[in-house]
Amino acid sequence: MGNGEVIAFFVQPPPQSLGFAAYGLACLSGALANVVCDEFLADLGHPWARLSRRGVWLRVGRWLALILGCVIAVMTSEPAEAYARMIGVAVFGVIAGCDLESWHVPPDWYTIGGAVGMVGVWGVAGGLRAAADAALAQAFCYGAMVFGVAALKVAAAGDIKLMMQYGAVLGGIVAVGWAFVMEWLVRVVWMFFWALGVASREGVEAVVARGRGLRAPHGPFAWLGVVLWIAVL
Amino acid sequence: MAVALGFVVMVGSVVVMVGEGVAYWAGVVGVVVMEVVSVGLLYFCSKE
Repeated sequence: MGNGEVIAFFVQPPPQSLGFAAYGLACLSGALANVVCDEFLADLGHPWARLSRRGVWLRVGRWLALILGCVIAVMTSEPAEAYARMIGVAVFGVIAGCDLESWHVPPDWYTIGGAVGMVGVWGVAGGLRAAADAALAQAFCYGAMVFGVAALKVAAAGDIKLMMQYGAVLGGIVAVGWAFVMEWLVRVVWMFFWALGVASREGVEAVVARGRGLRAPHGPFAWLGVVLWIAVL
Repeated sequence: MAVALGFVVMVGSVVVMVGEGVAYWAGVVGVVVMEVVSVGLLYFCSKE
C-alpha cells in the first residue's frame, strides 16, 4: 500500500457488505464456547474442569470484544474479506471463551497459535499480501501491548494475547492504527468519568492513589474504538 | 531487551506498511523475526 493509498484509506467510508450469516456463525461459536465452559466443563471434573472460566468481568469483556468484532467485520469489509474476518473472529471467540492456557501447554501457545492461524486464514482468503498485512497488524498490536505493559504500566499482561488476536483478526495495520487512536479517546473519556466518580466519593487524593494501579482493558476498548471510528465516518 | 524489541516491532510495522516491493517483504520478514525473538525472550526469561 503506497502513501496515496494509505491517505485514501483513511478518508474513505467503510463499505457495507455481507449478510448476517457469518455474523451469526461467529456469535454462535463464541456463545457455544462460553456456555460449554461455564455450564458443563466445571462439572466434568479433572481434566476438563480446568477449562471452565473464572472471573466474571474478564469473561464479560472478552464476550463484548467478540460481539463488537463481529459488528466490525460485517461493516468494514468487502464480502471475501468479511468471510475471512468472520472466521478469525469465530476462532477468536472460541479461544477467548476457553482460556486454553489452563491446559498443560506453554501459556502462549493458544495466543501464538490463534494469531498464526488467523494470518493463515487471511492468506487463504486474500493471498500472500493479505497474510503479510495481517501479520504486520498483529505485530503492531503485540509491540504496543508489550510497551504498554512494561514501560507505561497502563495494560495488564493478559492484554497482549487479546491484542495479538485482535490485530490478526482485523487484518490491516491501518484499521488497527485507527482503532488505537479511537481506543485512547474512549479510554480518556472512560478514565475521566472513573476519576469523577471516585473523587465525588473519596476525594482527589484517592483518585491519584488508585489511578496509579489502574489497569484498563485494551482489547475491548480497541474493538470499541473501531466501532466509534465507523460511527464517526 | 524484549521490551525494546517490542517497541521496534511496533514502530517498524508502521514503517514497513508504506513500503513497496522488496522493501515491503524484507520489512515483513524483519518485523516477524523480531517479534518472534521478543516473544521468546519474554517467555523463556520471564520470572512469572
